[in-house]
Amino acid sequence: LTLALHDHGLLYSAATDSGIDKDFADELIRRSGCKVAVSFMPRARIWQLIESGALDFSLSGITNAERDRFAAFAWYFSNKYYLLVRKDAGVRGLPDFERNRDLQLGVIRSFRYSETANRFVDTLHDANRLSQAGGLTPLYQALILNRIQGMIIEPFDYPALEEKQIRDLTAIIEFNDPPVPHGVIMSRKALSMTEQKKWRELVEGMRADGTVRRIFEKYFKPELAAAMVDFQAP
Amino acid sequence: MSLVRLLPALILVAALGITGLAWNHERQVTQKALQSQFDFLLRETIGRVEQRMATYEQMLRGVQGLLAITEPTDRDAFSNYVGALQFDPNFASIQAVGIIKRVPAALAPSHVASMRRLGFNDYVIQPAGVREVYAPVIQREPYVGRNRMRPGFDAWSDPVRRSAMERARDSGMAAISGKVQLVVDSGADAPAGFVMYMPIYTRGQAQDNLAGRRAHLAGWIFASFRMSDVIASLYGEKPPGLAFSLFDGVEPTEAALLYRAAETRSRPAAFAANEYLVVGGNTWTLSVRSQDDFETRFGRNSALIIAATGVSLGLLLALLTWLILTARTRALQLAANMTQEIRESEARFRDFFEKNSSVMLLIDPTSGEIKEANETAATYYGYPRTQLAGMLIDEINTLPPERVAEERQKALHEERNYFLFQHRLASGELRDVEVHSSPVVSGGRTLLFSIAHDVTARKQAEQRVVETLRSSEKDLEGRVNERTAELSSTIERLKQTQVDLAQADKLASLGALVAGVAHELNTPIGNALTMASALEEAAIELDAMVAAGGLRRSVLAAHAQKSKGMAAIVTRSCLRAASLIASFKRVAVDQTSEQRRKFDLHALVDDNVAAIKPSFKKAPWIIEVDIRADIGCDSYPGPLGQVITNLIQNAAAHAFDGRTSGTLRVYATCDAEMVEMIVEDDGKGMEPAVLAHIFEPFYTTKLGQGGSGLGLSVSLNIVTGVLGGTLQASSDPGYGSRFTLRFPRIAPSQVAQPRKDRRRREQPSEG
Repeated sequence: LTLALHDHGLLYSAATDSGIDKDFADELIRRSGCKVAVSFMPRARIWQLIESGALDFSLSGITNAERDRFAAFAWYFSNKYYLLVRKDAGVRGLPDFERNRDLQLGVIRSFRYSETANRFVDTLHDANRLSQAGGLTPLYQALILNRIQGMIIEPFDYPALEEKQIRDLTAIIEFNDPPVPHGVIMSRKALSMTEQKKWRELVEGMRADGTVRRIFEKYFKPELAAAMVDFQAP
Repeated sequence: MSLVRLLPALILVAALGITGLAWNHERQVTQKALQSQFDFLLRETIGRVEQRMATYEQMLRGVQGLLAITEPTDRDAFSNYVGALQFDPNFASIQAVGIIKRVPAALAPSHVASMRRLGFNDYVIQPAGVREVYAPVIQREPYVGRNRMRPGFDAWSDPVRRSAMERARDSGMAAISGKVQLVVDSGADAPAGFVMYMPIYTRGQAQDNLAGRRAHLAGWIFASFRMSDVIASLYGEKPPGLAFSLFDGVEPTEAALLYRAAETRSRPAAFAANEYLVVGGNTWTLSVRSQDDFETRFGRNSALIIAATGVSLGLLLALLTWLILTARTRALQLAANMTQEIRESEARFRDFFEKNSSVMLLIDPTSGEIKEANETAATYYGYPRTQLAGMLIDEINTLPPERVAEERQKALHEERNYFLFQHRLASGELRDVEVHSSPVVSGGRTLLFSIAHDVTARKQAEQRVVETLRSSEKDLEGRVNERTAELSSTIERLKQTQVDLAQADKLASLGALVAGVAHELNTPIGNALTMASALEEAAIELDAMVAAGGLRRSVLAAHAQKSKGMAAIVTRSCLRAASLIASFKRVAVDQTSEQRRKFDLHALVDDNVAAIKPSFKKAPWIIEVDIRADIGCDSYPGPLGQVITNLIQNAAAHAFDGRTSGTLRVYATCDAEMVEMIVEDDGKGMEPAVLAHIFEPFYTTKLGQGGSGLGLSVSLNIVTGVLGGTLQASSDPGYGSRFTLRFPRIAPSQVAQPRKDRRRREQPSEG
């Protein structure tokens, strides 16, 4: 079995080979008793391989209609999305950003977000105003260099915000969407419904016994961790 | 109403609006299609780069695997392993694969010493200097070309490399450096390169957390690349219609440039994007721009077609609406215009009719009633206009009414439109008129529109001309008659002159005859005279001898003998003279008397030839006569002799000019009735132009040299006249001439006008 991680803030840092996903993966593998090869690759590549069946698992995925065709999910947390914009872009709300044709939004290739955020991103995409990236790090760099004026972030990206340079430079705008559930991504091609069910039960077990919450509390303040892991799975 | 008037404009606006929408939609669709094509190509390019890097990483993992089972110092194992990788063209971009050993400062001397023991005698760690930790390259494979440079480069000393080496150490995974110049590449213009590092940990030590990995790091393996080689091996084919550049980091600056493709762009790129790749923990910015051929290759141009078609259809629709809406108005306007034109036309005709200086009438073709007449007509005919309109044309035209009706029908059916009539005026006076009449339609009826011109004066003038011509004709006839009479008398005089001349000619030839005869007679008479004188002298001598008494018998006998001889000569000479005279007398009598008698042709010719022969005595030619002695004729010997003489004289005068010899032959043949006599010469002959005229009176080629020009003309008259025969001439220029004389042996009896108008001329057939 194979599982791939992607570099994304607190979820996973390749530089230190650690993060929420790493911890979650270790625990899941341990509980399953299976031998799972864990690798690291760009998120876009992960989705491609999940779709093709070459990869069995990944973590912290969200769904949409298209992904539902080839992936199944075992939810274990949810979170909201936020628009991080440069203060000097003169943006107070989403429409401001959309209106100003000079503003570029940085996104990670293949990422999807909450409903409003998706619409926002798609609009800018059609206007050729997106800068794609293979990971989060270059987007922060591009934002600092004013090559992009905004990017979409999640709670995992907060540590970066605590860096003075970024904190001074940016403002956060909230998408008024409910939290979006995240979960284990399972390739429908690679795993049968029965297997999916078993893995889902494993994840449920990790949620139920507080393992998930403990992992999140390692990285977030308890309230935020609770807000993320306490959700009604769809 | 005003809304209706605006309808075409509204329709046009609506059509253009719809076209605009369709055009815009199509443009957006095209733009979207292009955008997604661009996205696709961009994603594909990114994918290729990432995949390639993953492959390199995998390759290094293989090396990592090797080092998990051998010592880093087993140089041969490493060399063999790299050799076994067989860098095919896909890996051609790998410049070198090598091993870096982590050497803490304390262990540096023993490291240097051990390297030197391996054969690298001058091994040192470069750059020199005292540092806490060194990370020298201890082996670089394949050991060929530039890779054969001395080992010992301390990669840890270069911050760019060190950053990647630290990342590799901490993550345990492959890490890629930023833009570097490879150690094996020297020089300022060395291509941009990068190095991929993979950590090696001390065997058997824990490395599952950051601390463990840091504590047990033994060194690194690396692969070095030139960016241009990587791109070259990446793309068999460039992404269609796109050009991309690759920069290290997120800023596309020259300093960070790793690779730049040649661009073929004449206008700003329609599509451009920067994408940040995270490869081996390092960020590259891929800057992609569409090229000129991108839109050509993937775009559609239906937007333009839609726009053109829509605009055209809109305009047509608007025009059509306008045409439909305005059809009634335009029809009314057209009708008004036509009515106006007709009115004007009518007015023009009325004006033309009323004020015309020609007589004009409108006549009912059936009844012949004058429907209208203009003022000029009223004046001309001498009726008030009111009366004239209503009269029948028969009251004016002098022809019988049925004839007038016939003519009207011809005009009505346009068989004729020009007539000459006599019209009677109110005064009773008759005038000749010329009428042009043609049908016109007026008020639904067909009338004859007639224009009459008075031609009386012209007719009279014509009559006068005819009379003048007739009297001139008579004058001319009189004058012609006078002239004819004058001409006749002149001709008569001319004829008389010709006869006189012929007579004179005859006398002239007679004179010649006399001269010839005199000459002939001179010889016999002279002989006779001489002999007579000699006889006289002999008689005197005898007489004297007798007187002297010395006469002897012998002398007397001799004298008698001599006298007898002399007397014979005298007798013969006198007989000859008498014969000549008889002959001359015959000729002279014949020629002057023109009497008919029986004669022998041979004798006649002989006589005539003898008579003129003396004239040619000194001539270089000879005359031969060959005529049988028994050709008897009953004809006119005089005229015949004159003809023979003329022909011989003619030949003598013309045939032998400039010749030194020649023969003139006269011969004849005959049957019971006809004689054919030929006079021919072998002289110079005559040209056809001369031959054609020789029988004409006064024609001569020897004018002023004695020729009268009448000889042959007279001969022809004689032959065809009294002799009742024919005379033909033929000639072969250069070879001679021939005159053929045919006449009956018994001449026709002379009835009346023997010589006048009975000439017959025959042209030559020879030659």
